[in-house]
Amino acid sequence: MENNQCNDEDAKKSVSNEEACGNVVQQRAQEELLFHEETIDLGGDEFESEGNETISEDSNNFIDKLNEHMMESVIISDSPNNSEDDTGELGCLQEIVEQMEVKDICTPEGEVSKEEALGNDSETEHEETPKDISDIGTDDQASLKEELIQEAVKDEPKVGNEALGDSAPSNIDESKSEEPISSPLASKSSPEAEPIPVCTIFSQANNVNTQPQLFIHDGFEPQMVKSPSFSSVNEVPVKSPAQVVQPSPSLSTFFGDPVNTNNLAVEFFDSFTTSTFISVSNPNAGSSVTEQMSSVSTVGDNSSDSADPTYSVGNGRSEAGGPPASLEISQSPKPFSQIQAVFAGSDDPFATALNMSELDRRNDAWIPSEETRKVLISVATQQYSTLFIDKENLTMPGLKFDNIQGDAVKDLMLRFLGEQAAMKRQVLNANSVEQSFVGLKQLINSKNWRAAVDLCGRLLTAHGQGYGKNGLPTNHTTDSLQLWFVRLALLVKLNLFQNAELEFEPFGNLDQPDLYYEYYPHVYPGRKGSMVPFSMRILHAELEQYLGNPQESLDRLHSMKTICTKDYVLAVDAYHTVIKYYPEQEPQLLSGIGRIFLQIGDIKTAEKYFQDVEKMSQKWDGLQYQIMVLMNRAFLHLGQNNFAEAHRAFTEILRIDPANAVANNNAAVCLLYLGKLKDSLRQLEGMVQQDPKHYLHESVLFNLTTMYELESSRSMQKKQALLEAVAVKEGDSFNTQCLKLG
Amino acid sequence: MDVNQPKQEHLLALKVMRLTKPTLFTNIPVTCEERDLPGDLLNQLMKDDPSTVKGAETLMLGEMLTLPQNFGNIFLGETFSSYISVHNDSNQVVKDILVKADLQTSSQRLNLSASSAAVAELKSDCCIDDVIHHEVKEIGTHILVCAVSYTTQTGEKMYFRKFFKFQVLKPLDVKTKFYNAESDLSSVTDEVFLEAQIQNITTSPMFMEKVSLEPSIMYNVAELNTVNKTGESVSTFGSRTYLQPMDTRQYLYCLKPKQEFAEKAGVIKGVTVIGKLDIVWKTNLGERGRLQTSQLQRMAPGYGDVRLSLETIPDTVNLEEPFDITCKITNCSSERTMDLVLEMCNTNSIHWCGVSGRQLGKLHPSSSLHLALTLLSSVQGLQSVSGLRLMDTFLKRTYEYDDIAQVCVISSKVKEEH
Repeated sequence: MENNQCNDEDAKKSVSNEEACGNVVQQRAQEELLFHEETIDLGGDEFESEGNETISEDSNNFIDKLNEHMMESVIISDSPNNSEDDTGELGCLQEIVEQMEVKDICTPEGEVSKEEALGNDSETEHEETPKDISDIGTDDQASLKEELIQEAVKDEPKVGNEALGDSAPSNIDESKSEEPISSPLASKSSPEAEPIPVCTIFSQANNVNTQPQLFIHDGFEPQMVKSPSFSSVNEVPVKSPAQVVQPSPSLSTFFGDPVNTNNLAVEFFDSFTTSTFISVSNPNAGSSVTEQMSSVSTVGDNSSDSADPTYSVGNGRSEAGGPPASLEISQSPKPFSQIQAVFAGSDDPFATALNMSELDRRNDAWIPSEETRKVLISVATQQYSTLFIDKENLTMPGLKFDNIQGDAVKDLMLRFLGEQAAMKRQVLNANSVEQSFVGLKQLINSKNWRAAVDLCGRLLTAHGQGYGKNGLPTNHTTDSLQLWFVRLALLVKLNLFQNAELEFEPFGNLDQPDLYYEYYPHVYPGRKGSMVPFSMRILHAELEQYLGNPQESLDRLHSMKTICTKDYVLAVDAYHTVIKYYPEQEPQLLSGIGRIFLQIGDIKTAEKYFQDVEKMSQKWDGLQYQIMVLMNRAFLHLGQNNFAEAHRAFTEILRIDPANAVANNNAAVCLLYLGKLKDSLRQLEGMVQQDPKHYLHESVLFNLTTMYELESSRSMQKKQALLEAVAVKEGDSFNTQCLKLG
Repeated sequence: MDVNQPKQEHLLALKVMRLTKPTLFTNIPVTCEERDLPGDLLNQLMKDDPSTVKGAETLMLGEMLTLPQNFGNIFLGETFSSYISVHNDSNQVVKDILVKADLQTSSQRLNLSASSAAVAELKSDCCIDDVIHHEVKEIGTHILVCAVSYTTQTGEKMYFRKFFKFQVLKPLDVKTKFYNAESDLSSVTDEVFLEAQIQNITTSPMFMEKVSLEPSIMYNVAELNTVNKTGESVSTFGSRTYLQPMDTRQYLYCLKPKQEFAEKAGVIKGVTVIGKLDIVWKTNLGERGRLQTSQLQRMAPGYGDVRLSLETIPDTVNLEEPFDITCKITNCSSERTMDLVLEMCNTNSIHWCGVSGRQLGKLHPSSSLHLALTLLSSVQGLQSVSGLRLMDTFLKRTYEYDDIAQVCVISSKVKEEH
């Protein structure tokens, strides 16, 4: 069947060959017309130069070559794919024939023989050679038989001329001797097949050279893979992993002088509209590498990227001396009795002892390690004597950087909107609130987390654990540990993972004896257990995964049932465990599992989970479940590449719940994939204007600015308008990167 | 480009963005307990965040879609999709706009534009949108060439182009290995086992949706990658449906020649086309990729002109007790009738019973004869049956058959005890 098709095509092609020349001329004329105002000209003369080139090069073979090419460009679709999602393809391909420039028609042949010879040369693994050859020989055996012979006759002398060519015959000999049972087919096809383009993409062509034994030992033969709708005809040699920018000969002719191609390319190529935005909450998204790996809790290795710049700033500033607060109460480690003065309402030892409720006991309970336990016992037995404890067993934290305050929004306003506009920006900072827990809460609530981190720093400095106090003996109270917890939690929230890790470090595994109440018998008489908040342990454990060490995170989490990264199966298992403990969140969690599967591409399993949710939500009626079901369906459509249906489902949610931010945003995203940029923009802008309090979210703003960039060259003004809107509402913890103003 | 000439200010702006699948926004939940310093502040903030999942705010994987943030990687077999937007930045109406998107690969140039018709006019601040798709079929450098031509209000013809270059990488490494099941005693067919190693050489997990062997016309295939557990077929890879970066999976297939081919040829000789592997994978939110290997070929084991195969043999025999085996001798040559003589040579352990050097008679091409032989072993343990020789009296050529089968030899006492 293929044979017939091929012949038909051939016939057609040979007719169109003659036309091809005419077409080129025509096209050139056309282009000249258009080139009236030629600006980028590098490719502009491609038609001319290539036309000339081919004619001068081997004008004798010109028609032959054309014929050859035409034979080659026949695309016999052996792919069921074509009918599936590439309906337009055949049409496209037909056009190529017309559009094909002379260069395309002619140059590949020469290249082919060259590259093929090179390929063989480098392949020390002999078994592969006959393999490759026969691959082609048989793949389209029937249809190409005759052509092969023709080509072989034509191309072989050329190969020989290339000096490299002699490697080809020798290889064949070798391969024959290696396999005494010479198959008629292989030996027959090898000389013919030699010049045929093969897409030799053994990924480790180099390795083959250096360690050929590997392949011989395991007996596995590397196979070439190709796109199914890509017939052997198109298997033009492409050198193995062409990751280096290395234009193939035909491409360099495309750009003129091949020597300069690399330089030219740099200045020459436009970049796709993308961004370097690293989301605060989705640091993965920053890199292509981890992009698709982001899972429930995968927060990849890039977190460092976002953390780095700020960190260096912090460090720089820290050199410039302590914050003003440290002057008021500058303290080195203090005797126990004085500590409590620092914080109003701090633990009254007697009251504490009396009020030791069941709740407290449960909350503080923690099993110390053997070593720690010994220390605690010795503290208990020698109550008031000064005890020598190895420094290594003590927790001696200190601020590692003492000022990360700053308002990126204001900085941007200064840059883009001028001083006057920037003056209007009023956010709370560490100075403008009460220097206490109350002020701290105020800062957290108003999303001024950077200022809150600073305030924690000041309060800790007051406690003698300020900048530079790292490694100096100190005492701990429940309050100082709470302050540390808040500071570290906010650093994590701000994606300053490395800063958090640095300051976490002195706490070790949160099991040192001085972190237990028993260590301070006269401050907390009778009180037992750990002063470390449980949430701080979780934070400590989870921090590692954000830093790209999920294994360490797992180790730390140990028996804590929490979601772990990168291993999706484990993640799903963990979710199932969580469901047992939070049955009321079951539909959400099942949907979450479904999304995990969707994210790794396992659409079928995702569907299964979504169906479970649907069954379940039949019992619970109510808007929330209706929305959840629709949301899941929409995601499923997305997974099936059906953006139109997905859009419909998201729109349906909006009908039920017009204020649904997620559905609004997602519907807009779908519109973009449907080629409706303006509609998409209108939807997003509409929702932001309608309720800025809710919709000025990092993710929405990122989508919006991306679309502005795609829309026109004048995205700047629109982005600045967004900045103004943000300035009104957001605190200093806002991730300005999503505005892409940098 | 002419350096001296100042860059022409164009009325239209061309923007191109690759459309990989959107990603789901993830949150970093930081929680605390009521009695901790921030109280319920942190939890409340998470509840107010529009990107968290309502009712389960601590779930990291949210529902908010974000657009692709960078170009990413593109692999052979995947579909390259791109948004092409031409926007009228000016305040005048522009006419006869023609947008053409071509993809230049190392071997060919493809037109990707949905329509080649010119747009009659484009008002100020309006867009021409196009989403192009292309299934990537070649490795290496690809260049998306976008050309825009238009006419200004004053009738001036304008033209500009932009080039976008990207590299297509190889996603998979496929290696194969054949095993010939020639010791298969019961059937006349030659079963072939194919072991295929598929390695994910991308940087993201890959869900393997389908890895199947499409057999050539001569073979039937049985996939051996599921296990039947209580009526349910379970994948041998367990619940792990995806391949992590650099992970390799081994797939196993059993191929049987179809009856008509097996009988026609007697035996399958030389190089045969086995079929090809068809691989479909998915990544982020169902981004799909598909590749096929070229036709896999297998060199049939060399039987030479005369093939000797075993039809029956006991698995366990008693020490020093004769046992029977049945051999099948096939003339594999194409046209030569053979006159064969059988010689039986004893080895250290195997002793043949009967006369060596007997005539087997004439054997026509592609025909075979059955031969019952008796032998005994003088050594215990797993013994290899060796020492058969066939001599072609016409060509004076001897074919040697050693290690044709193995048999377990046990002491007769042991057998009685059982």
